[in-house]
Amino acid sequence: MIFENHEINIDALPKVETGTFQQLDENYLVVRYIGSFIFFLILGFGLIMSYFLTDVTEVPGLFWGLVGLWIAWAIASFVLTNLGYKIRGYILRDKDLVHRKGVIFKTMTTIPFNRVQHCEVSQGIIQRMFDLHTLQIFTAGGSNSDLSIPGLKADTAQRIKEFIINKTVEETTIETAFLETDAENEIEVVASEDTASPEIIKESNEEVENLKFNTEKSVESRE
Amino acid sequence: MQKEDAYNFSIPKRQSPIAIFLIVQKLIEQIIRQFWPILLVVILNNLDFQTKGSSSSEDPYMTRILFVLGGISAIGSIIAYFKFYYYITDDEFVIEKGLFQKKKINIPFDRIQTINFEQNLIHQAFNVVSLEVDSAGSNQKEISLQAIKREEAEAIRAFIMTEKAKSQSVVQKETQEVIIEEERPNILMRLNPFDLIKVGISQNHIRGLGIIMGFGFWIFQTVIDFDFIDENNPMDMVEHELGLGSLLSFWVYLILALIIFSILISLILTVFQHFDLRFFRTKAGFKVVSGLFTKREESANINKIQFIRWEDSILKRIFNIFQLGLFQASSAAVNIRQSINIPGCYADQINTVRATYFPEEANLNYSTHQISPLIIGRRVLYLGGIPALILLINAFFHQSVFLGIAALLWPIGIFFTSRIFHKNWKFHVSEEGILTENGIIGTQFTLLKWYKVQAVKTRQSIYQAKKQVADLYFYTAAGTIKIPYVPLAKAQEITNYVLYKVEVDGRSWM
Repeated sequence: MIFENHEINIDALPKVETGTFQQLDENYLVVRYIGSFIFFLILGFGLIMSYFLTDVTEVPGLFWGLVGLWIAWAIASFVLTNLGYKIRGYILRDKDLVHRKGVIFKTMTTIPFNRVQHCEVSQGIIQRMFDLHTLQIFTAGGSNSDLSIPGLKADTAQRIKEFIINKTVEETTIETAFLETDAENEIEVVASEDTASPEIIKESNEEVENLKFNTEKSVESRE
Repeated sequence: MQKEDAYNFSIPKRQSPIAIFLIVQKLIEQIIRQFWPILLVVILNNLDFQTKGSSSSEDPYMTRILFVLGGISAIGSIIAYFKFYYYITDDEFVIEKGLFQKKKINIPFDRIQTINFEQNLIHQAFNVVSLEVDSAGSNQKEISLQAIKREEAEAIRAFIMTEKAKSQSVVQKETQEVIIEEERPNILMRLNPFDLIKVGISQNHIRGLGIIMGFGFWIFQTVIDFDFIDENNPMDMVEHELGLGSLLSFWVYLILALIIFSILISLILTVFQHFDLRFFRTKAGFKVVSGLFTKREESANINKIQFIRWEDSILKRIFNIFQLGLFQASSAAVNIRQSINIPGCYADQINTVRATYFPEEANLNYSTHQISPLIIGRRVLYLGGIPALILLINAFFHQSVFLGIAALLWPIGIFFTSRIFHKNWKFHVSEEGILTENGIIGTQFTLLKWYKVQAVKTRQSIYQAKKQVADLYFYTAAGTIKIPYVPLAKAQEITNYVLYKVEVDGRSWM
């Protein structure tokens, strides 16, 4: 057991690893195929051009080696796309979103909603043909922990986005409401208990000012 | 407080006219930095033409283009200056700028993370500062003023920070308490010249060495270009000049000179950067003032500090000093500027900062964990095996025994350092935060409170998945902390706990 001295039972905590992942839309696999197809088509075109326009053919075996590489890469890409589609998925939980992806490097990222800065739904050209969308989730400070989940139906993407936004709003309003009432109570207590307090506050303020002034002076004199 | 009344921030104002100089200066610097090879060619060509007396129509053409470009940008900067206004409303800092496309940037006070000042020589001569307002958020809104009067800058900072504190005091009782407790900025540390030398000597000298090597290489190339040395075998010349016996001592001297020069360069850089460094504890957090020619003032608000990191090295350990870094939330991707670095800290100061960042730490129990020993094998394979293979191929082609021996020794060396690497990698987990500890020669400590985390990731390669280990990442608004090769069950337990902690903890994390 890693955590000791605990009121809550670690085993009772919701587990990320045991959730069932929602797969992306079936058509997303087609989107990926089309993307790869275009990519390898361009590469293949480049190869053909190089055959006619450059002197690759002068080195024996170089051209066919490149063609072999092209085929191997295309096959590897096809296999990885397939496997990647099976692995890629998300779990929408009450308080956070879990995203899993990657074949060679399998990653699982979880972003709690109360750390989300904003959400966006976007769409690529190929995705548009199948009416699929990408949900992007942004956190503060650079793009390291930003998430993007592609291959979502328009309806699903919007609903998740709204769900997350509602969650973030909910969190903050509850928080501030709670703290505000707290602060109000406190002010009342202070007012009723001590009528001489303004003077004390004034005095302490002056003291603070003096201190500030002194330190400022000392900093200046050092310079 | 009276100071503030002297300025009416709500009226749109231009910067101090000195800003024009600074903008032009910056521009020239940028041009030189980006186009120095072209400039060098132009200048060298000029010299060449002068000496040889031949003229070319191409060269003055190029110079003219450069001058025209420079002129256009200079005029552009001046217009930009006159079209640049800043002012402060009740709750926002606003900038209006742009000639053709008017742009208005406003940053609400509660978005403002820090306000930093900087003074280079020109600034100092005219008693102005450049002011930089950093805001969090991925939309990269940042404000920077090139030059305004120092007093005004201070008044602006004081005004914004008070307003910010006022608006926050309603929401956050906790921070208010902290502020009241520590009203006075007290100096935690000051680098005297002796300390400065210690810091300089214990710097990482590789950078200095790199500068020298680059410079030396450049000179060597130039000299060869000018046919002063026989290109085919420069060493022959040295041998010829010094005699065969001196060749060895030539190398010894050369290496000694390299070492001394790199230390000297780090020393000079350190003095420039950290001269008269003062490290303050202020009411809101920490403040660092330093610099010889360019005075820099940086501050870190306690709430904005996401994690702290301190490290030593062999040399630093001799002097008992650490380098401390405060990593705070920032808008742009994390770079060195956003983390405040304080070199030459003693254990005392580290403890103060640690206690301020993580007051709960004193009452916590840490449980210590190690990373999986599988990392040793992987490091030997990747860091040892691949370079060894390349060396071996080279040794085969060049029939070199030396390279062959190197190919054998390299992985062995990697094996032993990897063992140390594994042994030294520890992470200490507690209910409220984590302390990591790693390094082969020196040790780097990183302290992170759980509620500062904004995303958790586990990453497994195929091998790691098979062996049930994972790399664990904690993302914060100030950067990422990675723990490699954590046993999977542990990684999952920590992930679930941290997520629980982040979701339950109501404190504002930045």
